Amino acid sequence: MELRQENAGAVAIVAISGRIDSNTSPQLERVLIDTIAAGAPRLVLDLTGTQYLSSAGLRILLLTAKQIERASGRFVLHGLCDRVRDVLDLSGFLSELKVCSDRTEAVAIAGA
Amino acid sequence: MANRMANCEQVELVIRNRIDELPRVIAALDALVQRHELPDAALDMHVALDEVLSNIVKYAYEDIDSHDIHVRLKVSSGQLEAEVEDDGKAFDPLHAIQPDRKPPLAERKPGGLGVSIVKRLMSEVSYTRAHGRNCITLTRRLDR
Repeated sequence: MELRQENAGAVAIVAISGRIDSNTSPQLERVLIDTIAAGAPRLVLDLTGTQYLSSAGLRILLLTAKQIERASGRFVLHGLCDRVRDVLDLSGFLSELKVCSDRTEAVAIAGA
Repeated sequence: MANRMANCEQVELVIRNRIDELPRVIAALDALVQRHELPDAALDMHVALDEVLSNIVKYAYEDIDSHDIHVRLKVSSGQLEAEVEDDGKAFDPLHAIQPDRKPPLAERKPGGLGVSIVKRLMSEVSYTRAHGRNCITLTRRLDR
């Protein structure tokens, strides 16, 4: 798994390439905790390069979403492949999250 | 150890009950997928094995001893199969209680979704318990 961090105004963007599983999810958790702690929680996760997500990754997304919700921030995902979308859907989590088809829209919603 | 025939291969490995052992299984699976040029559908097996093995590592043992987990990966006639055997406490994933998927975000608790994911992604899942060992067999047909 590779993580790339960018900023678009007040919005933090974390792009995740590769696999989010029990081995890589602790690294993702550390980065997301630091990103949220660093400022106003307006976060876009770019999953365009994400091959798959296991329940270890779901756990991180759930904790992140809850933390951002408590802080009245915004959390937006985009670039979900079918395999990732399927796992989010199965968990009942897809309907709870804001998901966009492209990055421009995701950043606009997170920054609004 | 690998046993290879035309379009058919079985790889066996033994890992310890530690999360940092899981990449060895994923690497063996990657190599198998590459050698047989398997389609993207094979990635479902990566997810399922991550779920099954991390579950065993986290919950199967009540002691702090080191335990062996046996993993057999097999490619044959349009399908990918994984057999995972451990000597932990009995756990039948086919009869595990599924978590409630309906509570709102703030009330959700992480965990418990791994079994649902495995069932969804695999074509077949079977479980046996014999001689104090759990054996889970995961099958992913590669034609869908």
